[in-house]
Amino acid sequence: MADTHAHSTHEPHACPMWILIAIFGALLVLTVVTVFTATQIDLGAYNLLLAMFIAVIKGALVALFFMHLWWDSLFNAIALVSGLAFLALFISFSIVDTYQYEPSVLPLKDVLTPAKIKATSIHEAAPEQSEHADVPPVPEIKEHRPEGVPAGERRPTKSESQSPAEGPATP
Amino acid sequence: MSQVETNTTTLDEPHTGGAHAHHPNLAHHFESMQQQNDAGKLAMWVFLATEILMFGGLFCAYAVWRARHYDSFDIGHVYLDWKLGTVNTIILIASSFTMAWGVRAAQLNHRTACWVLCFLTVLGGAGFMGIKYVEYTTKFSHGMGPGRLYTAPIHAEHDLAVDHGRNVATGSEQIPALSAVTLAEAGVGSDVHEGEHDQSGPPLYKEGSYWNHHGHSPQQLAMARPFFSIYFLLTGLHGLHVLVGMVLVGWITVRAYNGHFNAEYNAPVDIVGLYWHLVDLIWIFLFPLLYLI
Repeated sequence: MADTHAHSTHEPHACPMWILIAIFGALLVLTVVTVFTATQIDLGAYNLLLAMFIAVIKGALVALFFMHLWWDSLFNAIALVSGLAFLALFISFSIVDTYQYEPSVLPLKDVLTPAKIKATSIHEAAPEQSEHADVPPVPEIKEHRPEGVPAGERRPTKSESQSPAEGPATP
Repeated sequence: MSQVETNTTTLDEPHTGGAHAHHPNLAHHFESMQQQNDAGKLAMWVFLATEILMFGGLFCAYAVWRARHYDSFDIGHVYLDWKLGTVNTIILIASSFTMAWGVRAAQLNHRTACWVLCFLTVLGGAGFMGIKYVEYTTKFSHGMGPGRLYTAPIHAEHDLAVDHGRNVATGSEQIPALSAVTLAEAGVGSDVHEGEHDQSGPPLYKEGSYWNHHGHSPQQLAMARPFFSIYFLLTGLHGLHVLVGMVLVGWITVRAYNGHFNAEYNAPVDIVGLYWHLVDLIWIFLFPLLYLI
């Protein structure tokens, strides 16, 4: 083997083989654990937390050992951690912001119905319109929007929400 | 492993650790190979941070939509095959392992091992994309595409055994244009009626219909559209990265085969390896988020 030659260099630490195999095994085991807990054990909302917890462990193993952060200069880790920190800021601020808009969020069952998807999808609606150009189905649906409610402006009241309203999710 | 020693002939002299040993691959503005490698790796890590932020936008969309419209995810995710997803996860982890091993082989001057392992990594990426192709075509065949390509509720309405006061389009792929209009005119009533129907029991589809499998009504399928838009954006962007990674690792494979790398100069293997590991890292999060929960 040529391993002896490698010792004469001061190149980045070549990861020991047993560590690579151990990390590979750990990643496989954790994948099985993720699939098992998510599909066989019902923890309700905690399934998401558990799956993300395992994913963070797996990600850390990949970053630390496959990506050599364990041996690397700390600068590389700072680049990764600052990226993740800004990602956390980004997502948490967005989530907080959506709570501000909660009153204007329309229920999906009002926004997305088969009729509206039929009207907006390009696969099925296009041939219909070309064959029956005199009967445009799209404007028909729009007329059922509650009066005085511009698209996506606010959540309709109880009585209004009975009729389908165009929402921000419908392009 | 016997031909490994021949590879060291690319070095003029043993590396003494200072600026005096001018390695042919050492750029003039660097003191040493060590410094050059460290600078390259730091730059790659900064790039990877921007990659994380780019995916972060889509992860953020996932988080916001899931927090607001959990129904969409609850209905949509069961149509993804978690078994195929698991196989793909294992393939990607295995390819990440062969990549890390390949980097080690390059650092230890194991030339043959390096290119073989890099080649296996490319094969892993190809296997991943192959399975992804099967998944995508299955989704599209059922009308479960992103955005306006999402026509699953229309497919499901075709298959309804009991039609709500409308003509069943027998023997014809096209829905009569009239049905869209009548449905719109019926508007409120038809939706409410279907909503009540959902609660009383699963909708009745024709025998052998794909939609019997999970028993979602057309209305429920309609609500899953945002999930599939996010699914296709996330996996599409990730798949694009896998393709780019395959090209890069393939390039490294050829260079390693031609003996361009040795114990002193292996930064390209290392840096492309980092990219490949990031692709794996992102999939580790995508898989449970999309397929499992």
